[in-house]
Amino acid sequence: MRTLFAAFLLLGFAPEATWAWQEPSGAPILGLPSADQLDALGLADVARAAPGTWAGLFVNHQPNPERMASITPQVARLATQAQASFGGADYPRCLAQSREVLRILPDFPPSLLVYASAAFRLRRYSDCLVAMERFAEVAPTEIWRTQVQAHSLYSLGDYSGARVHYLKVIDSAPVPKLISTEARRGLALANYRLGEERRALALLRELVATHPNHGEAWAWLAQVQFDMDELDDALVAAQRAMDLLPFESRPYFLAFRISFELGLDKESEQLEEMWSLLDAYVGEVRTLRNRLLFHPGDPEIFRALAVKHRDVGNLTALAIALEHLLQAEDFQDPTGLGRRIFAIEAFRDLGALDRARAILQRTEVDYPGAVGLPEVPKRSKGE
Amino acid sequence: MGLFVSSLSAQQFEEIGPTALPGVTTLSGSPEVNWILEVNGGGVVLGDFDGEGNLDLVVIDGSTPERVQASKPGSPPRLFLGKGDATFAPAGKEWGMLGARWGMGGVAGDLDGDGSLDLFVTEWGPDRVFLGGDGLKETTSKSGLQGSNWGTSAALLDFDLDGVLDVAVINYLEFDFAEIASRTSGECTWKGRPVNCGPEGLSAQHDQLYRGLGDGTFELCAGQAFGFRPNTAAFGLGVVTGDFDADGDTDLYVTNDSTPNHLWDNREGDAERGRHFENIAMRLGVAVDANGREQAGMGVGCGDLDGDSRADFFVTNFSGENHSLYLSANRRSYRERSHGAGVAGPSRQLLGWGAGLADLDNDADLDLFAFHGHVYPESDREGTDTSYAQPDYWMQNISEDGKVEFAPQILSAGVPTVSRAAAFGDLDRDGDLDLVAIDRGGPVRVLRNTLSFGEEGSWIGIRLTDSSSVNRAAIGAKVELSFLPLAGESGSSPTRNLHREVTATGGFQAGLAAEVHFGLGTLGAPTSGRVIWPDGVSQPLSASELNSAGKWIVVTRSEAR
Repeated sequence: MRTLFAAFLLLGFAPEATWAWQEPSGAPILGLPSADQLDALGLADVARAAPGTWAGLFVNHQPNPERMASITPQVARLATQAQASFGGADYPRCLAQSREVLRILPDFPPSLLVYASAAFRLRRYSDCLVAMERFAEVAPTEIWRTQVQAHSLYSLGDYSGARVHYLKVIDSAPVPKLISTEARRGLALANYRLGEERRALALLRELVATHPNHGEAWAWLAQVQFDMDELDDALVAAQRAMDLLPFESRPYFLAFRISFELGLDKESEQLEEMWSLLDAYVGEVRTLRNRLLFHPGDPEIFRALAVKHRDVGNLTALAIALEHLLQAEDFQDPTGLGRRIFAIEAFRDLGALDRARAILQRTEVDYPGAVGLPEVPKRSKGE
Repeated sequence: MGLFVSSLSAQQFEEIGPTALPGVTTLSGSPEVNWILEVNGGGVVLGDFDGEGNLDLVVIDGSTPERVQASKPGSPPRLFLGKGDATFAPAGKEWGMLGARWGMGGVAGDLDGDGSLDLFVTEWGPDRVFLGGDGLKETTSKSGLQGSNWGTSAALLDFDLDGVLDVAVINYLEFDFAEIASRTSGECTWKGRPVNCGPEGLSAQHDQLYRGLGDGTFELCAGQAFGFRPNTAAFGLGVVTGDFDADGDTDLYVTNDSTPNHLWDNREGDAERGRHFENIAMRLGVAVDANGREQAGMGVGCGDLDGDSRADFFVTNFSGENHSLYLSANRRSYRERSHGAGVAGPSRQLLGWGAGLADLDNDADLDLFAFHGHVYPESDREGTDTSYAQPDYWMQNISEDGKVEFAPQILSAGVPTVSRAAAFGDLDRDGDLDLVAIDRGGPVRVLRNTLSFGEEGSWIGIRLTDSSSVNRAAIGAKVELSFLPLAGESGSSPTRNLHREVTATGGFQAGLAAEVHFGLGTLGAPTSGRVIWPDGVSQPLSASELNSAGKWIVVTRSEAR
């Protein structure tokens, strides 16, 4: 997905600063859609473009600057907002914004891509498919950008359709380096889901050969080898996945199951115990992330996420959650001080003293006279 | 919803509910489903209650929040006597039962050894016992049942091999209108919409095991001595019984909502510890899916799908997950083979409930069936990729060369429904298995199997009777039939064997008739067969019993316990 979005950025959407700002006419939906508004975000009643409208938009797989320049500033701004919403993981707003662009500018290919990507993130797979089918009609040279269509087919259980589309995405890539690892992994998994274990195995082996640090690919390789009773190889792959994804529970689960079947009962019991601990953490994080889908930017959810990551020592995820927490803070919110204190302590404990000091200084300004602020060691000479 | 279901056999099952049970409907709260209590719907129990040979049907019914809050009883369980043609008539007054709080499921067996079928009913509230004879009489108050939980399903088994049926009650969660938020509170959301709350965030209840005393009363097997108590309670919904490890006693497999499933291994015990259960689901790979994630665990069926004489499990789950097929593998463990077998993909957009394994096309292998319907009416809103009413299907076993595979076939040509509990049995005694299901807060569906046999007598149906045991119907007994290999078959085994185990436990809130059915396909007449009674005594089937293709027969125990 990240690759898909990066591909969208490659479309050369002009930065906002280069567009003369005008308020969009009408009243586009720019806010976070309410529960009721979620019902009105499909594309079924959004008009289609006349045939040929977008012919020639892409030249050598890049957007034609002249065609892009013909788009009105207000629409471009809305499209940019949608893009920013996606980047900020505010998928409901992104869906509403990109849908509004498509209502004003039917079948605008970049917005179809953004809409489809947001719909996929919100698990609105059928909506994603509608957008992608439209995209394929208006931008037939750009199928390589549509792996999210295959992801959606896969998520709906249409593994045959997913396999066909992953192949299309891979085969239509302008250059091999633009074939995403997600598409390659997806193709392998679609084969696996269809019972084509040998084909899946070969594809996953190719993937880990070219991307030896792809932990998910190693985990799937372990899964397929386990299913094929190649237990020794499966255990090696699971252990590699455990090394690469130390805070994911699935590799530990696979290693536990494989070890049991290998008769390594003691190791299996230890792995089961580790999996059990990690599984609780992963489940709680999953629940919080699901809440974020419809409550994007909620600082309390970020704080809860940070607590979970801190408790298991997942420092990378903790740092990310803390950054999100700070970005999401609402200075008018009386509970904000507590979150600031949490962030200062967490960054300090992470060893990110500069970050902790910066927040402490900001907090002293934003909350004058606040009591209970944590202490952060002063900068040392060697720091 | 895009479903990848073939319509080739769309007409194999004929929906005859309106004529089979005219005007019969059930109660389960409001159409809005404001509380999780309203989700499950009622239950179905099949059995020959009046001893006339046909299968009768008990409909376990629910209630409404308004009735509960007004301290009014829920709708009573109702017995309908089978006419032998898959239609039913209301039973007379002597079979009448009163309503209690909110009925859920049930199971039937001879609990007191008098030769007549008794009924066990699970409730949100105290569970109930009705003893049969000349009608059904409630004996709950002196039955020894304890507590007031939310019982969903119940299993009958003779876990201690004393010849008396015991009961395992599967409990869901602690529910109190005063403490659990309603859908209208907006506290709980699904896909961004307010929905009823639970089970996440609510308190699960432990299941209960009761030892039968042989007179229709029970004693609770409490404490750790019996093992039937995990460290953490789970949201129990479905249960099946069987001798899963072929050690001569009956084990239990329990499906749990959003929590790992339990496989309770019945262990003989030793000098230090008596007979007890141990949960080995995680170790054997049937607690969670292949990724290590717990599923919704709704309905469940079991049987031997791959011909290795070991039970396999089919579990229905939530939309966005997939139904799970656990096939037996090495070291007594299981592998989830849902995808390769073709079970997973068609189920991704469906939410499954009543399920089972049965030979629905009489071709000598077990097929799967599943009834569906979402828990949230909000699933009809845009962007959910599912729907409230959903199609039901059976999955035809098309396994070949050792590869287990299924092809989905739609069960009913009618409109999709919000189905819940379901059971199978030969309602019209014509040798093919029919289905009955409950719609949530709606009618009882009867799906008559209209299979026409290409070959006369391609099935055998067997009921067992053991007058020397309180467990008259021999629940837990096994029946094996052996056949000469088909022309062209090779391998070291000179014969092909079919196995069935007598059970009355039907997965989610359902009870089955304690009888076994064998589709024979092109296997011809069995060359030998035997019954292994619950106490392990083996009894060969006689020549006349083996030559009973095309009939339901009764096999009587020849040697007393």
